[in-house]
Amino acid sequence: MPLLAVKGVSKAFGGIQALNSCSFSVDQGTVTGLIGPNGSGKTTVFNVITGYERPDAGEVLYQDQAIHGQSPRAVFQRGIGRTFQSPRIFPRLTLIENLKIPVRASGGPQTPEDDVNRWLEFVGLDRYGTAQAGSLSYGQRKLLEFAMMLAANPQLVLLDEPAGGVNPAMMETMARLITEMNRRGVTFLIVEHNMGFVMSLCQHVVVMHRGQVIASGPPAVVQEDQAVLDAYLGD
Amino acid sequence: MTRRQAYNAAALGAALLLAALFPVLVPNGAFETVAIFTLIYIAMASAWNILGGYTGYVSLGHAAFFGVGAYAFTILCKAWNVPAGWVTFLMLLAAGAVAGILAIPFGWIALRARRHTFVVITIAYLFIFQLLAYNLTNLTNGSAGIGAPIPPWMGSSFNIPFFYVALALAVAVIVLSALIRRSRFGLSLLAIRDDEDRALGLGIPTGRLKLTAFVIAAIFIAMAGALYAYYVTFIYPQYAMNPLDDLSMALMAFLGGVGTVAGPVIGALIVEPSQQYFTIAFQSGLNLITYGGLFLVVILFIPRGLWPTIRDALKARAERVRAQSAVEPPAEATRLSAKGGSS
Repeated sequence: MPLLAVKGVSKAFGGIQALNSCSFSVDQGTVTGLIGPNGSGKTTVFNVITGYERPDAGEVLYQDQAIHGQSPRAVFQRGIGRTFQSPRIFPRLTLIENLKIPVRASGGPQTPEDDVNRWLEFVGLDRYGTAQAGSLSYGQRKLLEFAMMLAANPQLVLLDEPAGGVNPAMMETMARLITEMNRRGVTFLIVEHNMGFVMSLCQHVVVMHRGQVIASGPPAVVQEDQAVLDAYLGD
Repeated sequence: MTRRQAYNAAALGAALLLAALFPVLVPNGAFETVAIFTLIYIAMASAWNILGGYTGYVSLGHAAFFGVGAYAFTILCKAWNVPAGWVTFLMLLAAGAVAGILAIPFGWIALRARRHTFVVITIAYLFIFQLLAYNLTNLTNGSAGIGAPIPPWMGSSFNIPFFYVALALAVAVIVLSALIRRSRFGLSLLAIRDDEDRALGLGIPTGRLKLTAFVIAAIFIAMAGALYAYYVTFIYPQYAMNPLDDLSMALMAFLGGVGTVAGPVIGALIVEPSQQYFTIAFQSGLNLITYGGLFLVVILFIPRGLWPTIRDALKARAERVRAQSAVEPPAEATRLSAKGGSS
């Protein structure tokens, strides 16, 4: 039984069919990549899974239970966390306050200072604990958002372009942190355009094009798939 | 307790003592009246800030609850034959309760909208309540107004009970605001202010918390309204539910520092006495021009408000001094090295 199963999900925005009977699954303990050209529906899938969008058709099963149409809060409480393409943190709060929110919301300790400091240390931001999150660089914001997600102790984390817009050193840090958390049992589903990043991290890759899954399998196999090459190079 | 905490506690204690001794230090009826209105506005602006400042939901309709409090106080005092005196102040709690109950459905509806739409809905609330006060004549006596119990105190002692009750109300709201700011509830409200959808996605029950903040603000603003009704002894719809009160609460919070505990207090301490002065010294319309001008100045030059701007400037100065003293060698060492260099 997969940890997450997306079955025949469709979603349209006016005349645009963002998802068209999209189906794929994510196994527990894996790092799965979700790739595809711009506008292929990757972020819409994320939004449907995490409750930010309601699907027009199809279902999303998490641990074999339907979660589609539930609120983002309910999805979060089931153990699914996500990050956004452009990091969404609380800019006017300090880093410590940013981390206290998911720790407390997920039923963590009432005095979460130890937990918070541990996560700040984990992503290398412990020096900035009392600084306002809005003063961080773009890459540091990504790390903070990643730490916020992990602090909630999720089972499944959806990362939307974790390597997007960050320098190579930061990208390496992000890859190291994902690998470390995956080793500790966290399952990842990653949307990413950087193929090197995807191919080095993921055991399984799902390719989307025009709202549908056109290929899936190990990175080496997907890379050679003619439909994938056509989608990226233009068919 | 750290040195800074001790300093803050001492400063707060001194401020409270000074406020408590105000009628003794300044035994003047006119100044006492200004002080009472200022304390009422401190309570109102601080309560408004729990919703408008902490969650970012700028309500321009909470003056409706000021009116609800004023009317609930007068109507219930009449209905229950409450005698005028100290015991009448207990009716402030009943007025707060009425407003709190009313605020639940109205808040639930308004908070389904965000930003400008929310602001417009709250403005509509104010006028709906004002129209009700005009037209429910059996209950409110309409445009003829309605009388509250006449306080039994006379002459120079008249203001004293009102001053201390207003002070107690202002202190209670400030303390509550500070406790909320430091609590899990307050942190969640601030998260809603920064990014509501993100907060929802991190497990915060945004709808319930926003409504709680809306109701808390309504309760304390209504208690201020009840105190106002008892003090002025007669209320009319246009004064009890006055759009200018909404502007005042927002202006005070923004001028002092919206979303901070001290901001609305500082704002009320500046705006209300100067407003009273302008009303007395010049034509009554000048206070409105002052409001408009102040809003512009705040938005253009100090968008974060006075308190955060001054606090950060002081912090930056302290850091500069610390950095300078760390770089500069002590005077003795400089003198010795200069001697060594010349020999």
